[in-house]
Amino acid sequence: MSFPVRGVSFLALATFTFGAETAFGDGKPDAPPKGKDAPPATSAAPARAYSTEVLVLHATNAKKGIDPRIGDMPELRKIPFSSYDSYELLQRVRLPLKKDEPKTFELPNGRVLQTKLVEVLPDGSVRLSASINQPGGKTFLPLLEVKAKVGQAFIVAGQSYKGGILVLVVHVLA
Amino acid sequence: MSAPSDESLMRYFDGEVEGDEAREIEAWLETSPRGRLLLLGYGRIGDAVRAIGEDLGTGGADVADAVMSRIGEPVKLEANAPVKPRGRLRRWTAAVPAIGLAVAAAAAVALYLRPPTVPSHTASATSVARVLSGNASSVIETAPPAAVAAVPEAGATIEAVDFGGIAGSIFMVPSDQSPDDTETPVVWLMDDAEPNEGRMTPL
Repeated sequence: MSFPVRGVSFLALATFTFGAETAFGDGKPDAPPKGKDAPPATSAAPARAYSTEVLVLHATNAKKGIDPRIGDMPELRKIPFSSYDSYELLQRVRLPLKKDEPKTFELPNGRVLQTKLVEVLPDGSVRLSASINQPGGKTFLPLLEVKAKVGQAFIVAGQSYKGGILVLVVHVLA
Repeated sequence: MSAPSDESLMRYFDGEVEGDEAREIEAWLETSPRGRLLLLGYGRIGDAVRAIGEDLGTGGADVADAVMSRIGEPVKLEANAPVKPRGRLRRWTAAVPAIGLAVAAAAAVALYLRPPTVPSHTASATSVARVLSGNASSVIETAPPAAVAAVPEAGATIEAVDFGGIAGSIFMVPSDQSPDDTETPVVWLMDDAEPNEGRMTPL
């Protein structure tokens, strides 16, 4: 079916703007739901020490390939990561995950990554929060909350750094 | 090579740019991952609106009315909805995740306008997103437990994001590391610390 996409695009954009304003008023972010709809933390879960391993990669188009220290990471060969031909491991750090005990880690660009355990879920997975702050304390990424099982990972990418971007690969470990 | 204007990029997406201008845009896209991501955002906008038109069986004739009537309705996010490439941009939009304002707009449209669908097997399909403002600040919230319960989760899930004052996007990338099609969630930030980054990447 043919469709006037440009017009549609503008319509959709206009609608988005209208919708965002009407649906959310002043546009201030709402606090994410916590507690009410989330599965309750379980005290019955076996006591287990969790941590995150953070790999800080520098993605560039320096034609150097993927640093072997990164290991096998198929995601880097997928779009959009494949847009960069070089990945260098800059840092690798392990941060203990403890409730009410946020751990911080300075990134190569001077910003500070903070991780914290939110709760351990009955299935053994964890809900953790992360944020990235500017050197002066100003928040860059105020909140990222992730649910993951041991061995699973998530990626935070896109911070500009030395002609490329930083790619943070965060694995949950136990 | 300077970045094309948003208007030029939209016209290019619509297949309305030819000749030298098209070649310049294509050359820029070759060097700009973010440009390609923007195009994907345009694709998602079109897909969302077309889906409404198809739902109505009008081919989009009454899309505007449908759009307005659906604003505010909570709709499940189908975060991994495939992008239907258009015309010459097939190679650009086939699988590139979206980013930036266009993506936020696309996500908003998709969220508000798509009819409820059966979640896919991917963990990201359990999310409900709310794009909160035009500067792309957004929060992704979890779906109610009842909606999530039937969905097997294969990978980690992004439960909430506050992008603050920056633009960003969330998408999944296949990891290929397990037989259950595990995908890795990605939070992509549009960082303006280096203003030209992404628009004039060296060849």
